[in-house]
Parts: sequence; C-alpha cells; structure tokens
Amino acid sequence: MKESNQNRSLFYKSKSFPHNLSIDAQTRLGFIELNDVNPLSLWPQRPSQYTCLFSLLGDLNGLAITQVDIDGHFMADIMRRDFFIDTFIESSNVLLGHILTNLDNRFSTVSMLSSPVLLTFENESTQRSYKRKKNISSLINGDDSRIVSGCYKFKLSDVKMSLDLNFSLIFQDKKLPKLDA
Amino acid sequence: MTDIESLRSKAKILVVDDSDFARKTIATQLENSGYNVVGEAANSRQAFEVTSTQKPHIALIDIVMPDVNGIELAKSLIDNYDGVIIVMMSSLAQEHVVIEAISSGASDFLQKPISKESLESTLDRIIKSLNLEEKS
Repeated sequence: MKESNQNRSLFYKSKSFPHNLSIDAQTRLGFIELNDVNPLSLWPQRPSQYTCLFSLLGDLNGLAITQVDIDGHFMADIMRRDFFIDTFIESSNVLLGHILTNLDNRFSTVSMLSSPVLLTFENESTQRSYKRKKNISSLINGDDSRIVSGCYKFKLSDVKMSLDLNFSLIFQDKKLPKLDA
Repeated sequence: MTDIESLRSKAKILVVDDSDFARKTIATQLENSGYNVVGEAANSRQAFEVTSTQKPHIALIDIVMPDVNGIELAKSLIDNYDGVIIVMMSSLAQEHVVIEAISSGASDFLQKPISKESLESTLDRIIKSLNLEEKS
C-alpha cells in the first residue's frame, strides 16, 4: 500500500528533528508537539511576526520557513527586539543545519542551505517578490513535495517558533525509504 | 599567567560570521577566556580589511554567508595571507560539507552551536602549534 504523505512527514520529522538544542549557551530550542502548520500561515500576517526563508539546495531542493511571533514583547525596546530577532535567525539556521545533517546522514542525500532572508509585515514588496520567485503555492500543493513541520519553543521566553521544510525532489517514490527503515 | 593564558593573549583571532548574534557571542566568549580577538567581520570584504591590517594568526569563518561563502573566503585568505590558519564553522555538518571545508585548506571544522569546550580545545591546540613564544 502506498504510504501517505502525512505518514512520510511524521517519519522524516521523527528521524531528523532535534528535541533539544542549546544555541551558543544563550537560549534553548525545545521541540513541542503541535499539529502540522500550513506553510502559508507562516507568512507575516501582523507586525509582531517575523519570517525567515531559507532555500534548500542540492537533493533536498525546496524551501524552509521559520517564524516567530514576538506578540507584544520587546516592541518598545528596539535594541532588545533586534537582538531577539537576530537570535531567532541564527537559531533557525542552527536548527535547520542539524535537521539537514540528520536527514543527509540518514538517507544519503546531499543538501545545502542558503543564507536566510528575513520577511516582516512591513516589507510587503519583498514578500510578494519571494512568493512569486519561490512559487510557494505550487511547492505546497505539488505532487512531489513533502511537507514536514514542527514547532519549537524558546525557553528564554514564551515566544514560539515553528518550522516547515518542503522536500520537492529527493523523496520521489523510487528513492523513498521505507517507513520502518 | 600560565603558559596557555600567555599564548591565548598573543594569538590574534578574527571571527567572520554574517550573523551579529553568532559573531558577537563567539567573540565575547573568546575574550572572556583570555583570547586576543583582533577583529570581527560580517562579510568577505570586512574579513580582508581586518586581515590586511591586523594579520590574524587564526580566522574562524562561517560557511554559509550571503555574498562570498566561507569556503571561497578561506581559499582566498590562504592564497593571499601566508600562514593564516582557518577554522570553519557551520550548522551543517554532513560529510560532504566537512570534506569541502577541509579541502579548502581549513585546519578544523566546528559544528554550530559550538560549545565553549570544543572551541577552546581547538584553538588551544592550534595556538600551541604556532610557536608564538619563540616569535615574541
């Protein structure tokens, strides 16, 4: 029987997502179980939301999106806010690096990660440009795409972080590992 | 001052990372442990500027950067500044990434997040090999 995309996503998540990650002794990312997140919902919808885009290069061709909602925190303190957002971007980078390293080691794939691009609610033109460039809708709805999502929590504060990976090429059926592998 | 403290204060270190958070965290951590951080750079242009003026012994370089990536930067620094020792850093640590980093001429590779212990043991080993006592 053909395995469902949802089962595949859960499998990849269980094999690749770190459950606890200390970021340069500054903060800690802890994995929390939540329902899968629609990648489109990770686009900034309000000023307190910040979205980070990474392109995946190589076998894991696709897009990784992370988002944090500072939800009123630090809004009046620009320096603290900027430091927090910078921590978020680097944490996303570290988290994705570990996920890709785990996936590559597990499935013998070869992948790389681009530098992050930060999207805010205010930079609407950049958002539009990236939506067009990355063709988000077709990635999400495409037959060959595999969406894996998870959520992380900064222990430092109550701000949540969620993440989506969109695998578009490598996990085509002929290369797909069995779920019980 | 112990031997290693003395060596740490003599070896000049450059930190290259486009992330302000990562760069400042590493630089601060090094300074707190007695290392001599002579400069920070957010990109390849700044890295060359600091290298030409400060002549660092060691450059800690992040691989994924927006303009010129860390691998290319490492090759350029090694080609242009004789004796500079490169330590590559990245959150990615697949075999192909590590091999590419070492092939570029880097002496070591550290996966982010970098623990204080692994950072210091790597740098101390390099610093001891520099013969700084004899040169001073």
